[in-house]
Amino acid sequence: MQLEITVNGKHLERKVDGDQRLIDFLREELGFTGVKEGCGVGECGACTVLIDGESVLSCLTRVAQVDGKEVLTVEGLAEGEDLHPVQQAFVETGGVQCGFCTPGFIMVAVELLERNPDPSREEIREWIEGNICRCTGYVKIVDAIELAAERMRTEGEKVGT
Amino acid sequence: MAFELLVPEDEEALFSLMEEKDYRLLAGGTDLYVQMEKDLLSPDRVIDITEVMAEPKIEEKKEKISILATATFQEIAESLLINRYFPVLAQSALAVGATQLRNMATIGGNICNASPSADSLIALYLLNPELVLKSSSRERQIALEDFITGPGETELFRGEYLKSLEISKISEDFSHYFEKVGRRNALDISVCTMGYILKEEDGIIEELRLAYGAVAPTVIRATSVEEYLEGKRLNQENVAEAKKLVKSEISPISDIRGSAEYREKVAARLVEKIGNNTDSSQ
Ligand SMILES: Cc1cc2nc3c(=O)[nH]c(=O)nc-3n(C[C@H](O)[C@H](O)[C@H](O)COP(=O)(O)OP(=O)(O)OC[C@H]3O[C@@H](n4cnc5c(N)ncnc54)[C@H](O)[C@@H]3O)c2cc1C
Ligand code: FES
Ligand code: FES
Repeated sequence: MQLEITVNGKHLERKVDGDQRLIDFLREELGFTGVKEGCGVGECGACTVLIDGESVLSCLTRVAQVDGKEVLTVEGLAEGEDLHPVQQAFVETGGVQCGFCTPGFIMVAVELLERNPDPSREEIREWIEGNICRCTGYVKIVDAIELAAERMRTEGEKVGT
Repeated sequence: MAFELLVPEDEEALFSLMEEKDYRLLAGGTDLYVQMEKDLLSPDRVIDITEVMAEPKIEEKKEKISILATATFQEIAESLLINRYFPVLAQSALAVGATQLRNMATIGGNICNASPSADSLIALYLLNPELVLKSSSRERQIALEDFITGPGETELFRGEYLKSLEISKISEDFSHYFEKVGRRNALDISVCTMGYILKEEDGIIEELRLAYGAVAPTVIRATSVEEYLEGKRLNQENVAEAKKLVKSEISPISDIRGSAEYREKVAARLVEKIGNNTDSSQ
């Protein structure tokens, strides 16, 4: 099929197999290897991307389903040299250890802060329930999202694209 | 394995694609793709139905609320109409833990997959929706309890799809409750789920509807408990009797989440939640 899609702000037209998994399309065809595959069956959140602003699992999505839509991966967050505030906060608080889970957490956190600029720690925990991290014990991840929220509120920065 | 994935834009195109032999309908894909990944299914053709239904997903119609099959759990959890009229349904939608899954998973998929531990089914068994099924030649309505016939089994005919569910509004005097014991993931079931709606007058139960999940081949209504408790007070003696009755209603199995005995204990213990928490949505 002929796919028309916007990925990280860039409009693309490609001939693709409609049944290709979105994660494979993003990683293999477009080189966005920030999208990680942990489990392949919906249980770890490592493959999270935003489609039209909503977090979805790219391992359980096929490209024909995203025809005409806008996809955002972790690679699309930074503006030039400037990391997105959520990325910056993960780096600073130690929310990143091995880093495998990080893009998934960052994407779901970006969605959260877009919808709720001032979440409680409890709300943050609930929102990231579908993401698994084997290294950090989650506290630093919650710290990171809290810090990002605070900065984004005070700086009035805009999330996403 | 490769398959053909088609995304029809209107109902007519959908029906004509369904004339082919081996197809499966797709909504959020959170059950279907997992089942395909685990080689439990391998359709040649998968038909995405989400573009066919672009109307408002949740709508108030006089005495009823109409919900399109493709409404996601996130949309249901956030809907003002659902929170106002059917808090238990909003609570069950939120019980699907992961944000990403709530964004993807639809209520129609939850119904048609007919898992004994499908969270929304607890709420729906309490609310008795009529399901609207459509094929190229006709539209019919069927009660949810008649539609689901076993684990993963429904009365959906070839060439038909689930379009919407219509739920009659209920009195705002009901208190609503939903609880899930034990997380679930892709293919497992939870330990036990329970939900009820309850109307009390001066400490006497006027109406109780009680549903259980993960402890029988389908979600069930514990009707003997409902009948026993109606007209009574929730004192120790009555609760003890109700716990016995629950055990006679269920037929749990053992799996990695819990043994049959454990499930039975949990199901009985959950009876204590009736009335204690008059509105868990607060
Ligand atoms: C990691 C993980 C965790 C999960 N946790 C939970 C949980 O906590 N609680 C829970 O209840 N479920 C859970 N599930 C299961 C799943 O997310 C739900 O059952 C979901 O509601 C399925 O909806 P869907 O739109 O993704 O269905 P799909 O996978 O698209 O479809 C499911 C089935 O229904 C059929 N179908 C779908 N829509 C229609 C329609 N409109 N008409 C006719 N047939 C249709 C499909 O052909 C398919 O057979 C989980 C799944 C995963 C992968
Ligand atoms: S790789 Fe998609 S959820 Fe684990
Ligand atoms: S940092 Fe290693 S899995 Fe999360």
